[in-house]
Amino acid sequence: MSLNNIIKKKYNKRGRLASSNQVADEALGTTYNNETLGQFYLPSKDYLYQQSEQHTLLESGWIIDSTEKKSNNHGIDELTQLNTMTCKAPNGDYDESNFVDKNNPAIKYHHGTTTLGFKFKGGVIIAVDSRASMGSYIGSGTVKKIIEINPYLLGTMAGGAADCQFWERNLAMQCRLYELRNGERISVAAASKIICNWMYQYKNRFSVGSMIAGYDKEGPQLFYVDSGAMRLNSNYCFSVGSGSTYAYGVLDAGWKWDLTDDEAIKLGRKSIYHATHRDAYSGGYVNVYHIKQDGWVNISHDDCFQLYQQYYPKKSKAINDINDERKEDGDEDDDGDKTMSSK
Amino acid sequence: MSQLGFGNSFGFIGKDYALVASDCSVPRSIVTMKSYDDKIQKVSSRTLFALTGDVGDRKNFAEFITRNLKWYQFRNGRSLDNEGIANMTRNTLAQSLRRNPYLTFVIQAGFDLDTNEPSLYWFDYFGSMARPNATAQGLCSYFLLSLFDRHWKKGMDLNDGLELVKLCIDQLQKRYVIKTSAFIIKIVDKDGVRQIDLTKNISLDRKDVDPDAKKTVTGIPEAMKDSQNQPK
Repeated sequence: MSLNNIIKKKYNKRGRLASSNQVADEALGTTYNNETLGQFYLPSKDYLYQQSEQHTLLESGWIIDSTEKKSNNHGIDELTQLNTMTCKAPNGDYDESNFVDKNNPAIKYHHGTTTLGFKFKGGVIIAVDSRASMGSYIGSGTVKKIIEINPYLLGTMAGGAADCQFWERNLAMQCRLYELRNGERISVAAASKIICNWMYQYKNRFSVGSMIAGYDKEGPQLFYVDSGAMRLNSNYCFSVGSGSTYAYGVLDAGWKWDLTDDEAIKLGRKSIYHATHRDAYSGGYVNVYHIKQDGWVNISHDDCFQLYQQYYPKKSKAINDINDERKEDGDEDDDGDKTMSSK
Repeated sequence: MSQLGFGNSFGFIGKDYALVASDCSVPRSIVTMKSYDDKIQKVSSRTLFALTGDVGDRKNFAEFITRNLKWYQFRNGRSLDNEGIANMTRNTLAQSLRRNPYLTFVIQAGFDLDTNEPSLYWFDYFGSMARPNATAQGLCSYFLLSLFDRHWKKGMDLNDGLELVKLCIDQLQKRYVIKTSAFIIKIVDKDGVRQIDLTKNISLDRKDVDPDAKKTVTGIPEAMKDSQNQPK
């Protein structure tokens, strides 16, 4: 969407060049006041009913016209009672082309994540964050990265969200068919092998880095399956994603086989919290699941900033203190370092 | 994955055995996904494949060869000897090179009961094959091939062979820039395939903590004098 298409030299009635505001109004067909800004978040008629013009769609429902379009219709669509304005970001900063790989625009990566899973004497703990990033844009902060395949099998999502979701749902179907045909639950090794074989057929064309964890006749099991058809078993732990190295650090230091359930859950939560703290592409909520003999249990769902306040109350409070001090016009010339470092 | 080089493995033949050793780690960019992974697969009753390279490919390739050998056995009433297995492997690699290539580096160690002779084959992922006495795959070959030239002798017995293995591993620990946690060593002779535990695993202090270690590489000290090698 080039600037030339939007801004044309316009002359108003008095023969002078129109101001930029007037040009923008003409081009976009809207005025920016409080009422119209609120409409950015509504899907327009074009989103609901497919039309012939090409649109590029961002996650939150914004539409960016690829062709110049003047929509002067400020009215409400009778059918849907929604505003029919085609909404645009005012200056093209949120255009999708800014969030793709510079070298190969066809690649749209959604890879930022941290997921981890580890085994201990009481079963398997799976902990994930909930941020979906597209390059430097945060697409969502509430993604569900643990996919419940069946009541005793869990899969995690890392890499391409669509790929993981699709293949793990497919796996759920295959597991159910196995149960119906054979009259017994499928083993975790077999389930991970099924998905590994699919990955091998389309080797390296997806982006999947998921863990399949569950409890079967041989005890708690943890497998890592990859879009390169890598399938690894472990008695220890895996962590996947951009924040995995940070999670590994905390996890490796605190792990031992004889953890109690409580300690293990806290370890999992803490590891993901530290990854969200350091990795820009991880964040949101920390979800923890525990897989026991009779199935998985959803343990907790905590916002990572609240965990920060819980683990480091003084440091997090210091942030608030700075703000308060500025409001009250304190005497000291405080740039924040003093307060942060003093405990 | 490929930036760190694929895994390391080496092997040689002795008087009445063939030996192959492989490192155990599975790296993924800067992270070690798994530190104790068994990369040596038993393909037939007296044949071992030490496979390195892409993880998905090597596991699939090993299973493909194993299952095809079983099928051959059913069809023809006898199993293939080591030379046949080697040529079949080479053919598979070469034919699939232009369609769906297997990015694997294989060392095949085997013992033939008919001729009572061990054999060693080396494969590249292009489908090239060689039949050396002592060889290595991966970046460790830069260090080990000269060691083999110097210290490998024809007709070494088991103790001498294990000393040579220890020499190789020590050299890699000293000079190879990536610290390997442990090596798995397997041997084929007339009694079949078994794993040799050379030293206690040489990993970091957390060797007692990493549970994968206990399964694959258990430490038996002074195994060179130990005649009670574990079966299988």
